[in-house]
Amino acid sequence: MLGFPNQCSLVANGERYAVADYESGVPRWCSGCGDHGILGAFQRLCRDEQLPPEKTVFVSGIGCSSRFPHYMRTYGFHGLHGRALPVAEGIKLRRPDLHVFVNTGDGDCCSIGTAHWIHAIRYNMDMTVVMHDNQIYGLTKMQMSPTTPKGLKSNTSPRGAYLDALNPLTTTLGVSNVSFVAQAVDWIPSLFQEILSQAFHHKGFSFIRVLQRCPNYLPTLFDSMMHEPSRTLILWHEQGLARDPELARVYDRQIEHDPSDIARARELASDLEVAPVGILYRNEQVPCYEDVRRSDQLQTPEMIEAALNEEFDNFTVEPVRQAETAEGE
Amino acid sequence: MTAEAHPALAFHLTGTRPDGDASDPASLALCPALLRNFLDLRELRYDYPLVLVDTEGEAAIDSLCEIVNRVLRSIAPRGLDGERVRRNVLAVESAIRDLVSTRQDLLLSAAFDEAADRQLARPDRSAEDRELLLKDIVRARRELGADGRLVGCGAEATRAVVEHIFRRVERQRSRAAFLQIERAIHRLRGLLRCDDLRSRDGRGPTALRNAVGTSFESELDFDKLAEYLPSTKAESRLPRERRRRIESALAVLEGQRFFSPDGEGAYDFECTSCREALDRHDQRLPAMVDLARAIRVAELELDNAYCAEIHDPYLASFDRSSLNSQDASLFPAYLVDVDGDGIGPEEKAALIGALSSNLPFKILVHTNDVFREPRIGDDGDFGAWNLGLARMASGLGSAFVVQTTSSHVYAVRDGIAEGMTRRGPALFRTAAGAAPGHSSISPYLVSASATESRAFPTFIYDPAAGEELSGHFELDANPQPERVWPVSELSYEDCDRQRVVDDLEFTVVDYLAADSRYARHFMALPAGDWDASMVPLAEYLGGEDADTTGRVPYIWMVDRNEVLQRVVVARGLLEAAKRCERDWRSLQELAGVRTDRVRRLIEEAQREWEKQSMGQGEIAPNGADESPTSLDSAAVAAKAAGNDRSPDEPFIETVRCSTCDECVNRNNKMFRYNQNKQAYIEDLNAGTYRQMVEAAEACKLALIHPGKPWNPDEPDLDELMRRAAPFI
Ligand SMILES: Cc1ncc(C[n+]2csc(CCOP(=O)(O)OP(=O)(O)O)c2C)c(N)n1
Ligand code: SF4
Ligand SMILES: [Mg+2]
Repeated sequence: MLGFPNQCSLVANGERYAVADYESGVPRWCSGCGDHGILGAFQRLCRDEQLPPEKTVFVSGIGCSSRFPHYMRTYGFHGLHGRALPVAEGIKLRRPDLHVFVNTGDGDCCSIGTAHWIHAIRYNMDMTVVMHDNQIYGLTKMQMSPTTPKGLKSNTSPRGAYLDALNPLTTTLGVSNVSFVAQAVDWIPSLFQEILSQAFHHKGFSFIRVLQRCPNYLPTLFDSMMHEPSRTLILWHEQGLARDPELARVYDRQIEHDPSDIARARELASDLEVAPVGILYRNEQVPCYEDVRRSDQLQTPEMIEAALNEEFDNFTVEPVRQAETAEGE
Repeated sequence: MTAEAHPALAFHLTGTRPDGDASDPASLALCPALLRNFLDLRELRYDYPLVLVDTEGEAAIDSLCEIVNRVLRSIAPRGLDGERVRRNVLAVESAIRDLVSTRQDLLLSAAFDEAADRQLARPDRSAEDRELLLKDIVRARRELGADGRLVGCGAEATRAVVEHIFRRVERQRSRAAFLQIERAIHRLRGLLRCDDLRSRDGRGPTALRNAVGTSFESELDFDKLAEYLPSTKAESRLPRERRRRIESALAVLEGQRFFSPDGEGAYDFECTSCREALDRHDQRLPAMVDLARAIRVAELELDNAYCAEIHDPYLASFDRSSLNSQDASLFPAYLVDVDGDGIGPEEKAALIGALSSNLPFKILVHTNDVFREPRIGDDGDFGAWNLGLARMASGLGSAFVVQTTSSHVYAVRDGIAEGMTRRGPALFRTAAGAAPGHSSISPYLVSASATESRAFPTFIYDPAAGEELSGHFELDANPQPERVWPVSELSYEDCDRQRVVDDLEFTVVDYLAADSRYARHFMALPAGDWDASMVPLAEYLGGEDADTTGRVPYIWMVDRNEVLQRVVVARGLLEAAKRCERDWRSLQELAGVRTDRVRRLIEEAQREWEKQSMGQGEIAPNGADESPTSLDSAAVAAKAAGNDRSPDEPFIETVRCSTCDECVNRNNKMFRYNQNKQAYIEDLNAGTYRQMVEAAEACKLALIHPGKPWNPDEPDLDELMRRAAPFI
């Protein structure tokens, strides 16, 4: 962390973190909400990687899904609607030693936060981003989001959504410097776990879209997918997910997909009938913005203060003098 | 035929010549035939002068020739205009070479300007020419790139290059280390500052007043404010022991003198003897140990990983033996510049000691005289020490070794930088062509021919390069590394005025023939005395089994009138030649070079193998008894396991559980999460069959299989079993 390779061969303490060490509070999500599963997967990831809680930050915007940081016993930042990514970028830039995770909803990411999302892909900073895509605004009680399927009725689209949904996968795959894109579904936890782990190990901006069930507002939305395994296409590859014979018993549509093939990834991501689950694209060669901009300059509080003062010296703030004002009137 | 009757043979065998004979190369001013075309360096474009670049991020060493090539690539278009640009810029390049041959410490930019002025001032140029020249010069100047000091190929060239690379690498190392330490200091201070803020004083009126500043000082009652602020609990303060540990590590980090922001520390890491370097290193060890210990503490404290039971004893016994290779890469390396021509026995011993240590000693052993004449008390003849040192160092296995002449230093610059960057010891064994006997030929040519003739081959030995020994050696910078002696074309006019082109080997004897100190070992023979007993030297040396009795080896030289001469070589010198050849061959073997011999052996082995396999028929195809892949069998096994379950038993497919809380929210005694936070049935008796069935219905993934009721007294069992049926 210091930049020195850690030289203490001795393990500091023999204790290991368990899943319970990352739990905090009782989640306020409805029972059956896909967010519970996503939370469990993150807690397992932290346990598997033995991430020190004080070196881990979860950042979110606003939404049901964005309550996530409250339930992780790590650092967290429950921010402004749509603004999770710029906050996470700031954290990473100043503290590259921290593990940064972002949880964002489909509304948070693809509506109000779109500009940040697109540029975050392009900046390719090293963080793991999970978009909880329940295809609805949950927190504000069932309003249409950009990923809401055409025709679906909601409180803001009582006659059904008019437009085709935005496809977060093809959108992400279309941005320059994209370096990791995957899709998971909350109801196949073993795959999500593996995808999450690979996303975490990817150096760069890893974007996972998770199809997440909202049993409260759209209880049947994913039923057809869950009941017809043929609507799920599992992607496996030497460089991606390993083949899981156990899963193959249920999900028999499995293909080999090379995650370095972006053209094929875009093709797979465009298919609206069959949801690809796995790693669509990965490129380890894309530089990370924090590395590109890494400065050798040490920024002490004194230097920051001096720089701010220099900036402030460009302005003069004249105190309004009471007597003069009175006279003028 | 007797030796008396054959003066050439007599000379070859005895090395003595008739009184008054002046047919030696020095008296006749002969030059080895293959060197003839290179005597006037002004007509050549070659690596020198080199540019020692200071700009960080640019290559440390550049060559004028390469720089000009780059400039021309970017500013000289194809066609006539481009041709003119090329001619003009190359004229400036040549003028820079002239300048460098007489002046030292010139910067590339200054030399370029001066050379350009000289070209512009030439009286033979028309006004129009001059205008175009000026235009080309201005454009070329803009494209020059990073500036740096120019060095010509004199006696000091390799030293300058090695020193320059060392200083650049070290400056960078030192700056990086300084920054890391500063960062640690900064963050450790941050820990203390946070603790201070939590202290009683930190929340007291004075601290609050200071925090608010003067603008609103009068608006607030800081005493009151301090009263309102909740006092911190004792456990949120840093434990006293931890604070003390951080403070003492901070004191060491802040007081260290090894590194500074400009990359220069307080200590001097350059000296001229290994003994001295070892002494200095010993004196500085305690300070190094302190600093390394403080860094360990800083790392642990900043990672919040300090554990007193483990780390207290570890740090208490921390001493010089605790320093590891990572520490070695943190601390500055030593540059030891040993005079290879004047090295004494004591220094030789210290040198071996330093090279076999794992300490960062970067040792330059430079020699001006590769083939020094033997002196009484010398260990070996013809500079055995000089020639064998680098190979001996590579045998130690721990040191990175680069051997090069000054002419080839540019070719191995990356190797030199690598040796400097590596943490262990490194030997830079260099030679310049500045021996007294070579005064009539330029040092560049002398050193280039020392490499060419295998007298002083160029090689890199990297102890960490791969598993196989051959991967450790690199001979690529030598001309035609697969041959014993490199071959070049010699073209001349014969007595019938016809152009003849011959292939000619350049051997170590050709190299020595240009050194006046060895002139007595050579005798030029008038063409009238040439006869069939004479054989070219390479042939004479090469015929290992051939009978050389009565044979007279000769080399080709050129006299002042450009006439080719056969020059007979005295037998005494052949010892040196044979040793060079032997050494070179063994280098080839070590480097795994595919020599002709190796190629022949491979071919023979291949033929033999083909012959043997002819009669043996087909080889059994691989994998005839292919077994099912593990994947398939795993799938089958998994399926079987799935079918094993009794439908009467309640059961949850735990691995597929998505942690949706549906079941545990219904009854968290009957349903529990395991360590993976996935649900399983903990205790059936803690709940009812109804709860089980309802959970099964609620589970969107249908992972809950309710089985049969376990309590026959539960009401509504019939209805519940009907509802449970789809999930069994
Ligand atoms: C600036 C701003 N605009 C609007 C809102 C209202 N708002 C809160 S959450 C939300 C949408 C959340 O949807 P999504 O991101 O999909 O999260 P979910 O609740 O579905 O997990 C909106 C519009 C807000 N909080 N702030
Ligand atoms: S409303 Fe939907 S998204 Fe929000 S907690 Fe409930 S189930 Fe989850
Ligand atoms: Mg949503």
